Amino acid sequence: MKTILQMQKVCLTYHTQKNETTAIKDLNIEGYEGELLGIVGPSGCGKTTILSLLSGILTPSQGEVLIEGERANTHSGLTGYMLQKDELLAWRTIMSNVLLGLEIKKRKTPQKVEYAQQLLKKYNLYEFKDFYPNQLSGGMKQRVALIRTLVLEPKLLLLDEPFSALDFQTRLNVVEDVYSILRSEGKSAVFVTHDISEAISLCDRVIILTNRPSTVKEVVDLSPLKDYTPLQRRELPMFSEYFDKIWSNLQTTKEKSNEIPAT
Amino acid sequence: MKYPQRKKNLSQTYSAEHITYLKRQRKKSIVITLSRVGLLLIFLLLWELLARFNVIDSFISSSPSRMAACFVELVKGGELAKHVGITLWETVASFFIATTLGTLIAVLLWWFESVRRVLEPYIVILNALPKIALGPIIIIWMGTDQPAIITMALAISLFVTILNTLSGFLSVEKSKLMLMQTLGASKWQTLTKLVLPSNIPNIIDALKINVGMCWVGTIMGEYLVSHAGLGYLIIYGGQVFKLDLVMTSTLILCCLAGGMYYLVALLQKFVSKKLNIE
Repeated sequence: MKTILQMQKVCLTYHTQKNETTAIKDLNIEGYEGELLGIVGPSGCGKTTILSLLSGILTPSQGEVLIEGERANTHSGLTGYMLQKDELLAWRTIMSNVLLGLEIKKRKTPQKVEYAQQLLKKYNLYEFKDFYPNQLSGGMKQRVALIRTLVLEPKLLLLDEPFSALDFQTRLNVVEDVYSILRSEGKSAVFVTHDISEAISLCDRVIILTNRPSTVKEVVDLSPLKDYTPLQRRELPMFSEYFDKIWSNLQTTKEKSNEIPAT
Repeated sequence: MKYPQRKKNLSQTYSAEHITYLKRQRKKSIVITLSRVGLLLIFLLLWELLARFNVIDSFISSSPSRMAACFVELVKGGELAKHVGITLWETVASFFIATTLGTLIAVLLWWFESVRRVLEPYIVILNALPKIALGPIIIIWMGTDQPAIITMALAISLFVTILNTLSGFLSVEKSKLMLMQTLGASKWQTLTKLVLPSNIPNIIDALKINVGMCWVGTIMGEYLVSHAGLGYLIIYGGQVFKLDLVMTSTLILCCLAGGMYYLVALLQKFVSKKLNIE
């Protein structure tokens, strides 16, 4: 499999007036093309930091972050970031929200607009293209946010707990939708979450992080689940085995962290 | 007063219970409008009667009929148009300058963080200063004519505009800024596509405050230096003890200030609808 992302011995330290915090230390991660890579870890372990590094918003203090062999930067257009909440702009219609990224990157051509329309049609949002965000449900808005990211045709999608703002029932459905969208578009993605069952239901491989400063604790291969959709996966007996495995791993990181109080 | 929009075919759209509810609401709002008008009429009537029967001294309290006569006289002499025109022009000019300049300065302070941190205490202090204290300085520097009046109005309204607008700019959601960052937006794009549009309600609120501020500034300026305008009429009327003139001018001022506020409120309604802001 072709490698799409590499993080080699990455360290990142945040500086504030009062102190400095090492968020991640000696982190090595590889991601492959077409793979949905999950990252789970205790809260505050620097999961969002990893995505910021991959998108190029942050530059590592040490080490290298490579996307398709190129150093990560915000202008490459290789990555597409999807945030926790939909962050749709209230004064723009759905269509114009979808086109926001293209406008910013000055790539709003008739072909791209056409592509945006196709995506909206494909995911049953076309009839709402002239609506405003507040007229749509939370799940629909999250799908619009995903399309806003997809329109830019990124090679690698970065998903930062994109379902955490949704209620449970909507969440299950949106995970299902997002899964099928990602698969049908053949995208690679890095999916950050603290929700173990969500990670298992969506990903091909899950990386478990330690407490801050975080590094890789364990990698769990979920390829046996590859042919099942998120909802189907939840029905499988294997699901709870994976859950236990990841959970116990997270537990041991927590116990350890209790011995050494975080600064 | 808001009436249900689909009044014509009520029975087709709403249940009987809802229609009763709407009718009751409508009745209530009619009563309120009538009470508002009634309050004014009763006040004027009482004022007139008390003056007529010499319960109050109409020399120092004037009366509605004397004000009406004064008004007619002012209109006939062509003086009213002149004074109203001058005051209105001063107010509108300072309103536009304060709004434009204030927003522009707020944009600059948003853009350059270090400049903002340097200037912040100065703006806060200037905002807290009672501007009337600047009167003598303004007269000496700007002369005793319209520039001085507009400067006074600006002194009063500009700093409030800057502070309000800037605090709106700075309170744009962090996560929205993050979105712009992930899309690779430049600072200019962040300003034009996120910060300004999301702050339009704020800016309009600032306009509403500015209407009041500019009226205060203009009248205060006219008290200080002017030879014409409603503020001048009021001060002059006071000096020569023509209370009819004072009261009439004040009433006209009420109407003008109210009218201007109403225009801004209309603008707000229009823009909110256009931009889909609640």
